[in-house]
Amino acid sequence: MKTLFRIAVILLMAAIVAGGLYLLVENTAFDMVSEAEGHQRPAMTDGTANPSMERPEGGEDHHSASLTRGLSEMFVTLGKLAAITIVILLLQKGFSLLRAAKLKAQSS
Amino acid sequence: MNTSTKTNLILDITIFVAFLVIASPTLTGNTIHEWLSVAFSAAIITHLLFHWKWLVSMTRNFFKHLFHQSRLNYVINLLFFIAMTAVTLSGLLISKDVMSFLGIQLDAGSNWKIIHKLASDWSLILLGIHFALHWKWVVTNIAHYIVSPLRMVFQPHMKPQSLSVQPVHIEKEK
Ligand code: HEM
Ligand code: HEM
Repeated sequence: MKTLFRIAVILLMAAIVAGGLYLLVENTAFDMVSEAEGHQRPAMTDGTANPSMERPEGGEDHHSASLTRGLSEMFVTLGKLAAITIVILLLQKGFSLLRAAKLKAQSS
Repeated sequence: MNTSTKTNLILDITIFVAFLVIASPTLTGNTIHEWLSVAFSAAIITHLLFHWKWLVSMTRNFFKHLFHQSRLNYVINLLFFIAMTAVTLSGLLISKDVMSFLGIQLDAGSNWKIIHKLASDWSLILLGIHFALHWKWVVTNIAHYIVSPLRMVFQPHMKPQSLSVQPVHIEKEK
């Protein structure tokens, strides 16, 4: 019973965040796609577009799996995670050294 | 919820591996990406249940001890929660398999695809920070529960040495 209550609290928090985000995005008249494409979308979505302009085979298509591309994507993610972790650990080390130096200066 | 360190470690390793796989949708294809992410959300709820006491006591004491590492931890965890909610919401809105399986038809704007990518990038950054803030815990427990038992398997003759005799011996020699 206690666990069910806790799950409900977590889901409620997630629903509040999700609802807020949904309202924010849907009520903001801002089209990120045309922003990202430098306002060139009308030319791409023009009804006269050539029917041969389909997505090329083997391009950036996430619908089909590819072991080699997928594994390299995963190692890139792992690399990014490692880099972020190392930066934070170095920052922590730097701060603790600074704090120790400050304490030493204060006590002498 | 009272959970052992070992249970926590097993769950943490599982969600870590799951995150790596989910963040590489090309590896699994779209369908597995979507369903694995849904299961992952349930695992994150379990992870939060395991840390319920921490969540409650930190929320109560948030405004005390202004510059303490646990405060930084709290802010990072809060941002992580928001990022994970954003990535799940946007994922569900652009979903092709999960929602149609549930018989729900959505016509989400293309903004949600960009938000999904953005939120997944942020969740990666926040996971890196979350991980670094628990680095000592991770290293200590991986050494204790994974590296040591493996060493025992591959070097069984080491067994007697790893009993409590060794540290006492070193102490005395010093
Ligand atoms: C891939 C995802 C995640 C991984 C690998 C992960 C890993 C960890 C680890 C290693 C710990 C410390 C050890 C322990 O379990 O006691 C921890 C603690 C914790 N995590 Fe996560 N976590 C993840 C996602 C999240 C998310 C999305 C949240 C949401 C807010 C979260 C909230 C917490 C909290 C509240 C604690 C305990 C308090 C603390 O010391 O910070 N975690 N997590
Ligand atoms: C931990 C949570 C998640 C992470 C880290 C994540 C990450 C990603 C990433 C990196 C992409 C590729 C985006 C791109 O390169 O444009 C993607 C695509 C996608 N994700 Fe997720 N995702 C998560 C959860 C979900 C969920 C819960 C769903 C739906 C149930 C979902 C549905 C999709 C779909 C349909 C695409 C393909 C979009 C397209 O065709 O461009 N994702 N996700």
